[in-house]
Amino acid sequence: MKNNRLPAILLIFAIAALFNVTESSAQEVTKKSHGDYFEHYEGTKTCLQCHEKDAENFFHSQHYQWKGEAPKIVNAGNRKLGKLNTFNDFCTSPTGNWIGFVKNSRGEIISRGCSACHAGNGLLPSETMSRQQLENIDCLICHASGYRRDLYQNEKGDFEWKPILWKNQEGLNSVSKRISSPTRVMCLRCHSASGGGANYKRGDLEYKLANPDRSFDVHMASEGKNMQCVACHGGENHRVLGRGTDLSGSDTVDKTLTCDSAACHSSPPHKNPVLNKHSANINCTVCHIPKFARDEPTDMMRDWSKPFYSAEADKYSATIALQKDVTPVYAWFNGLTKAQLPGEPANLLPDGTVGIMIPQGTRDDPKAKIYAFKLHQAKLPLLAEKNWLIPITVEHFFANGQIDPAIQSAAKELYNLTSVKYTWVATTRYMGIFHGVQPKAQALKCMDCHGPKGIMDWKTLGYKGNPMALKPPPRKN
Amino acid sequence: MKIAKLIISIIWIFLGSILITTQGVSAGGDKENGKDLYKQNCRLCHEKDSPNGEFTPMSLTQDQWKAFFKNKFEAKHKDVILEREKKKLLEFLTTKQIEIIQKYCVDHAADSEQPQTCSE
Repeated sequence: MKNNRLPAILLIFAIAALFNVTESSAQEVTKKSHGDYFEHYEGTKTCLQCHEKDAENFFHSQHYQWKGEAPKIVNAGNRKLGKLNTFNDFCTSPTGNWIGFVKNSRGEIISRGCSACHAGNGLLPSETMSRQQLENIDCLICHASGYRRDLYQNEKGDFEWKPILWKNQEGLNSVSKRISSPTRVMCLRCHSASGGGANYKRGDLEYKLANPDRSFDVHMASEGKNMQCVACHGGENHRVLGRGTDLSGSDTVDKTLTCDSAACHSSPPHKNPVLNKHSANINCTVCHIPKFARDEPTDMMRDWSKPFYSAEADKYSATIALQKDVTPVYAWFNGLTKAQLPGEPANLLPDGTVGIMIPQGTRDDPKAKIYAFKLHQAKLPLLAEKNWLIPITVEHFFANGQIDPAIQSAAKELYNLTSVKYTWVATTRYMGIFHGVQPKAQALKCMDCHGPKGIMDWKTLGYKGNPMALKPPPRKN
Repeated sequence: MKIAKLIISIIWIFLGSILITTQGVSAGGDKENGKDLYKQNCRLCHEKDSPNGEFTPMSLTQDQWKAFFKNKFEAKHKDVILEREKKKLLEFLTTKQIEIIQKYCVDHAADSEQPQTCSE
């Protein structure tokens, strides 16, 4: 009897091993040595010899244009929107802050501009494709491990991002041939560092994700699934999947990234019907990411009306409130967002703050679910009479701490207005929390929401109170 | 008897803390030394516009630094005099110090996670 079972058991093990191998392979970074394709790297034109079409696709992407179609922004009005032509409540706008050295009183470089995180060599992206623009694409910043670059000023006074190995052709040749699909480390260099410090901006994109354990992120754990960012976000033709909740432009307007969209998780996702009843109305992240900023603190409040001077760095900044181990706030979201756009009157929320990025949807909206958010607050200048928000030319401010000239400069640059009068206004921005999924044992339990000290603000969510206590009629959908 | 045990426990804790502290200083010291040793002994002759060539840790890749220390370092520096010490560089630096400088260069090479000039 035992002997009869043995082949079956071995077969099961063999199939399991096969699946395991297949799954592991799927998560590995696609590496391709380019040693056979070129000898000397001579800038982007070396890549274009074989990848002209890829470069053309990339030219039109969000990562290069920093704007794109914005069908998810309810007040976009068919305009292309993005980082380049809107503003935010962190460093406000690339306008006037694109590229250049800012030095402190000690002569040290304290900023090189927003283009430090643009996948280009320094030129502003244009809407019209040209040879110059294609050669401005910096392929290596996302595709070559070990590639590092710095800002240099040429004899004409123009600024350019170049490999730090530009004087060492042998070293540059070596690095430029280490080509792969983007790794977590490559993505995190910009997506974690943005906003002025590690994890300052997003809150759920921490450097720790480069090499996390399973308790920090079940998907990206190095000893577990080891999923790279592109496993979920990799689209076609250099178009990235997913826009979170507060990005203006979408790279893939006809596709939505959800936990079950890549056939990773079934829908409904649980065996327990009570949990499945919840997942019909609640996004997975609500229960499975109970906290964010678990390794490094994140910026929760940035007050530009109160300059702060760091003697250590000899640099000015806004007054920033950092927080670690933050419990998200929760709100309904139907996939659409209302944005505060330049040159439009301030969109005042019921609490009197200006809504920079506000998720749309209510309890009665059948397309809406409850999502987890980082609620970022700020204080920004508001143009008198017009009620338009004004960005700040932060690059000037970082060095001298003078906020008024930095606001006047931005008002001139964006609105062509001089000597403007302004007041300071509080702003609110909702930023979706999607990374740092913890093991199911750490997920929220019933009483975390429905207990007497539950984390949900039921009234704000459209309930009279805790539904478990009140037993309301079922939601219509 | 209890007092004797207590005294022995205190002695063990004391010795343990010394060991931990010493290891901490040693590890941290090596880390600091790499940068300091580079500044004191290498930068002098390899600053910007130097006739000997400008070199900082991020001038080369990690593989290039390893190959340099393995194949070229001694030959290139055999006649170098450290003016400060009035000695030949290779007679002044110990093998351990050269290893520490090499580690600093490799750890902060152009293709490392933290490229550095030694002025940072």
